[in-house]
Amino acid sequence: MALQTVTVPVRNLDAIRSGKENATSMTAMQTMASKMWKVLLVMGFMIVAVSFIIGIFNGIAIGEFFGETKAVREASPNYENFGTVQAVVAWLPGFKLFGVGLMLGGITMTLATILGNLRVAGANVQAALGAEVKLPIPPTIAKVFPLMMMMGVMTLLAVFGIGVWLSGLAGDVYGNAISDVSAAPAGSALLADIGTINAVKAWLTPMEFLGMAFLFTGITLALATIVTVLRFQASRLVEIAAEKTA
Amino acid sequence: MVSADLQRRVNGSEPALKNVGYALMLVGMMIIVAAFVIGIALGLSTADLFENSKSVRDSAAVGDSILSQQGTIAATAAWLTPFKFIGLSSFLGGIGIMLLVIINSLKLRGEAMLQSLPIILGIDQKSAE
Repeated sequence: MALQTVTVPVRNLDAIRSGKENATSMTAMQTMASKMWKVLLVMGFMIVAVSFIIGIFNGIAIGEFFGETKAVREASPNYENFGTVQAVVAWLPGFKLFGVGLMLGGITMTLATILGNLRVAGANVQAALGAEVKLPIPPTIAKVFPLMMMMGVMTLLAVFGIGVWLSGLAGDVYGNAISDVSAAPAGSALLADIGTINAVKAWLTPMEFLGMAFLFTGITLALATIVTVLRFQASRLVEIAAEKTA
Repeated sequence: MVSADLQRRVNGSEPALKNVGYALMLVGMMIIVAAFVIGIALGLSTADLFENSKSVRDSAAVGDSILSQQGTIAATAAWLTPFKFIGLSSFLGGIGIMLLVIINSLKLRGEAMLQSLPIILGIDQKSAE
């Protein structure tokens, strides 16, 4: 199916040919993406790096916890800050994946910036060649991919938020002596909390993947939009050549 | 004159390979959504299991529903992670195919420039040679 186009009037051809002006500008979304992609990539990388450092410290704490016999470890409440260790284990994966999500969001915005540059350069070339400047009306996939990216980042932010809430519960539960945790009777609040921690963990990891899936869908659709634009540019050149020979 | 073959290719339908990219993306999304739904079911089953104290769970006898439930939860968790990664792989396959289609589209645009620009700019190709 042929793409629908919109014709843009050429105002100052000399300025376009000399590179001082552009025949058209990027869309609002593309302009925002061209400013934000670096921020998202840097923020995402920083979050992942901080997660790694926190992971090292948590690893050291776990190592210290296992520096004593099982009997000693399980008898004392919050032995070697075990509650804190378990709290960190609850929120750290969500935090780390939020960082990865921001980086994938940054990649999606880079692709939107590429699309913006294709739009501007395509319009400039058409104007410079003395032809009518025709631009494709963004197809549905071009409108959907930024939404997918946002849904992905929001899902991963929600996962992180749930992880933070869960860490409070995990800190409380594992702040008790492990022997008490193991002996929690049926119907007790402690056992209910243990059940909640394990139940939430069972669906929280698939939810992380759901967020990633939204982000990958956004990237795939952005790439598909680039294909559509490149093919439009090729067909427009052939069309202009046909107009010249007619 | 732009060749008829090039005209057919630039004005024809989008490459079939692009649809393969879409298909892989959809398969990936379906797998991840299925994994999420299974995860919710696993969470409900886990919550149900943890209504029993540890001593009851640990002393469950063969044939006991609690033991069977523990087995199901552990077995499902074991295959659910690789299943989710199949979904992610499907997405990455789709992205790889889309990049391949971009390479082909860049080649097509290059061909269009090669044949169209001399005509548009009025350059005699034979004298240029």
